[in-house]
Amino acid sequence: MDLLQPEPGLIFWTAVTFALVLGILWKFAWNPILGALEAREEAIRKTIDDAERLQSEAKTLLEQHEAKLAEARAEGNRILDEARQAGDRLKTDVMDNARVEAEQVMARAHRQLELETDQALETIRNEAATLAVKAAEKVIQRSLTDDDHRRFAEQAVAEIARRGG
Amino acid sequence: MTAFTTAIQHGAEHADEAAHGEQGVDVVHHLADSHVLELEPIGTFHLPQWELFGLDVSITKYTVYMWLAAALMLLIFLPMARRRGSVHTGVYNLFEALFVYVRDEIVYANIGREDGRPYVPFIATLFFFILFMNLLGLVPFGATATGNLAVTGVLALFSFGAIQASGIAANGPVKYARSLMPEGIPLVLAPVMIPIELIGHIAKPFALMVRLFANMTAGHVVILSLLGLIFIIHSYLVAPIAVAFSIFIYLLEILIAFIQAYIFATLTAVFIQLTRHPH
Repeated sequence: MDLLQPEPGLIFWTAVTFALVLGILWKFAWNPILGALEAREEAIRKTIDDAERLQSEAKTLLEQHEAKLAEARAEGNRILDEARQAGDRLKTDVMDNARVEAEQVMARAHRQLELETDQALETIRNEAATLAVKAAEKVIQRSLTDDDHRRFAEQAVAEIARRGG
Repeated sequence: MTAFTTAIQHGAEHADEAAHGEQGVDVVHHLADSHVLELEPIGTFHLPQWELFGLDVSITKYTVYMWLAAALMLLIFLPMARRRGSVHTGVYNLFEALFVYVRDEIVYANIGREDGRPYVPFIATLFFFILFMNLLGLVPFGATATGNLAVTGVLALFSFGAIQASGIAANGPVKYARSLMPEGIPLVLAPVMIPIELIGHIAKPFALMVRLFANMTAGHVVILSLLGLIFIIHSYLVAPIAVAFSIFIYLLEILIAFIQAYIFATLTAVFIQLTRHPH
């Protein structure tokens, strides 16, 4: 058998074998395998798409939650600040009111005290004048006129007022 | 590599220089088809010689290994197609990867995803049939059926048929026939153009046939020649070098087995695409 001489038998068998293998595998192997591969590729693509979609959804949710959390934290801080400020304001108000009231009470007391002191001095002054007049009257009743009495009394009162003043 | 043959047994048939009672390596005998299977030391099997309508359709060495390749394909891909579930294991993974490679890188890359799908079965069969025959030539006692012009010729003929059929299917017979005479060329040139186009159509599968045959034969010739050096030089000193080189060529042949299957399948896909869109 020559190397370059094609044998008719081999041509025949090659044709038959190839045609049979082609036909059998076409129907029972290649098309089912192709279909299965495509189905699997589709499934994988779908799974990956789903995963990506879920991931992006999760990311959005996380971002939303973080935003909400930050918002809540800011809100809390704001409320706390407000409360602190209100407290401070209340404290200063109360203190101020108390101080004002105390001052008023003190002022009132001072005024009262002055008033009463003046009244007491007036009373004492009148009482002293009367007493002096009566005493002097007893001493110099006969020698002096009423005018003299009065002059002496007034002098005495002025004297007392000067000393006591 | 099948056993070194005793040249004296075939001396009469080939009348080469080794046929003088010496041990030798008969390259042509090793590569030529034969009616016997030499599975030394198990034995030599004579294959049946048949005749059909006056045609010699004897089973030969290459027929046997071609059937082995076909049987392997059926044994691997039929169970693979019946498997359910999306997770494949073991040998199926290997062949699924190869099949996906053929589909994506050979068919879809050249013909397109939608247009290429109907051609996947044909080109996958071509690829794996050639690959298995190539690889069977590399196992001990094996023979490379693709190292025979009859085998590669028939495969190229199938390719030719597929290429022409795809051209007709895509363009319709009239338009496809008209592509033999491209538009814009003066009618005077028709006697030149049409034969050139026809030769182009025939040259493509012819090149496929010769390329596969020559590549698969060449490696074997080189290996056998390197080993033959030992017998020609008559020295054991040359043996380590010759064996080392033949191992190198053998490894190269594993690569070539894949490359040639790839080239045959890829060129078929390329030619299909070319005829689907003539000029």
